[in-house]
Amino acid sequence: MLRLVATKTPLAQIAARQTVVRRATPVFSSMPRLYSTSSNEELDLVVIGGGPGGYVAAIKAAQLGLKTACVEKRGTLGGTCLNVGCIPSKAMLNNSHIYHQTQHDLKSRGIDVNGVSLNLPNMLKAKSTAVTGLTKGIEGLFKKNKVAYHKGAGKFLSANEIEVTGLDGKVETLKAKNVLIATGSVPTTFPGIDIDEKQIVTSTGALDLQEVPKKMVVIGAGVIGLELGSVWQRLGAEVTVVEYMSAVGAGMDGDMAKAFQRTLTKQGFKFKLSTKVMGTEKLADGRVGVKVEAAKGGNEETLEADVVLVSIGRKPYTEGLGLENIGIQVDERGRIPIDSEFRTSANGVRCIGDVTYGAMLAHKAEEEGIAAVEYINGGHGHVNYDVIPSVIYTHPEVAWCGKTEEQVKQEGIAYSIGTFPFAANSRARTNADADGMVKMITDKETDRILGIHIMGPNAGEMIAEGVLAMEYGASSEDIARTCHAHPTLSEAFKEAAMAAHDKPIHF
Amino acid sequence: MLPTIVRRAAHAHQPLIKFLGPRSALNQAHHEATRHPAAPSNAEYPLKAAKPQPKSASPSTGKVTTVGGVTRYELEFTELPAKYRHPILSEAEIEAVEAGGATVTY
Repeated sequence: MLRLVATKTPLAQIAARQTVVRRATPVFSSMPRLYSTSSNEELDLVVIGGGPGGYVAAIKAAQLGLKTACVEKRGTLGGTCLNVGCIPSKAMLNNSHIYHQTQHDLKSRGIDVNGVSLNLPNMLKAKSTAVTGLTKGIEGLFKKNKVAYHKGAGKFLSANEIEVTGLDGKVETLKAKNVLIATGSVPTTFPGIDIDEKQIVTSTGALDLQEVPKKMVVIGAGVIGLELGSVWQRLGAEVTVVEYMSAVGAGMDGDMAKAFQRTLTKQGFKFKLSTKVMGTEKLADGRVGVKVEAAKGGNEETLEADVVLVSIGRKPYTEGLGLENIGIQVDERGRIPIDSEFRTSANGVRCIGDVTYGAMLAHKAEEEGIAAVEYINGGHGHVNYDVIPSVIYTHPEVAWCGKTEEQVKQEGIAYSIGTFPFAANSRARTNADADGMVKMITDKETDRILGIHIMGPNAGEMIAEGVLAMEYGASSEDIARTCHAHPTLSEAFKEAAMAAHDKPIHF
Repeated sequence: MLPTIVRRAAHAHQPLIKFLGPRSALNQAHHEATRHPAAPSNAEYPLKAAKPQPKSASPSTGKVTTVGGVTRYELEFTELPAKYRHPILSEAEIEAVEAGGATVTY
């Protein structure tokens, strides 16, 4: 028989593969690494947007041998996350927590500290130092990986031509076989409320207030509102959160939302749930009045505030991108439609991150950036949208992944629940930091984990174990039978798994 | 009937995590674009361009000629986008051809 190849594969190996496979052609794998930024030379990939999705995609592409350029108009890399989002807010959350703990908690731990006072300019400077260091770090990574960095605004002339108007006013055109849109999102504004970023602020302004407001009204009890509300509440502000929905936490598990609201209330937050904002007005004393009423109507009142934070969500950002030039039409929420391999309707143009479907999270955008580049390179990308973790970096932190109890109920799935309170965890008790619990939701029949919800110290780190378990398709028994070090907070995670599968030992 | 707890204590645990074999075999799974998993149910699929792309959006490589007012784009075979090329046969496919498909389970 005429053989097509010289080597013969054992039949057992072929049978094991079971399916006929077609290997995607590695289009660029043999290309040399040429990284000229000349506008005449055609690039393999231009990434528009240097946020967590865009810069990660650009670095990954360069690592795979693609001639890559990244266009970013902010002037610094890292996008919203690094410049005016996750990173500066974490700097403020961490430092405000230390301040608050020093004032209110150290005495009971046997540490007497006198003369504690807030130096807000220095706290803001520490935040800026963290941001600057990290943005410069990405520029360093671009140099290391030979990604051409264009500081300017990108606009589509065609699907493979990007006009870049530099921050210095210089205009050039980049040609590329592939373009990746990663332009992110901007805060959603409230109809009728003008943002001045001084008194009525979005998250951007709330990270740079020059003095602690006496009274702060936060519109929206989602992640951003509760985190930034926490910052200013710890620093001395009286914070009232107004939320249209009947629960805090942007769709988190119902049990967790209730427990979380109780904890924040204990810390001093005031909540007005099921309440809608009708507008704002300038008061005679220079402050702002926020007019609210019950979501169902009635009970009108005006909340007085020195600062109002509008944190009702974010919207995709495509302004000035020239999508009309390449036939891309955004959907009713401003998102760019894509398929499972991140292709848009324009040939050679893909899209990732906040500007398209899915949760608006930096880590989700990063995963998509890598996956999209792998597809461009003729390979496979992988993003599991069922296990994208969410974290609220308050104290205690709240973290979750997978389905909520409300979702499994709605989907008619037979499920089991396992919970374990941190109050029964030795390390949490030792640290005198035992608010919260771990809740695990599993399939009643198979014991496979469907959702994990944590409120407690270090929940944002602990959820990584849950994400890994869910990504691997683990059962609660798999976790329950995995040895966890003693004494650690992670034992609470194991005990919740034991509770879901069988019974916990310490509760 | 044994009480549930006793039965659970007696069963041998089988982890759900399984290793699927050599990575080289896993990487060859064929993939085709589908609806995005996070897309809303009312999102249009397959995606359609809102309007034709402007004429300046010419193919990035190849020769452009105009014959009788009609613009033609010529590409070398090697310049064809991957989707128009003949897929590279895997060893499994070659074996399947040689064995008449008898060894492959679909």
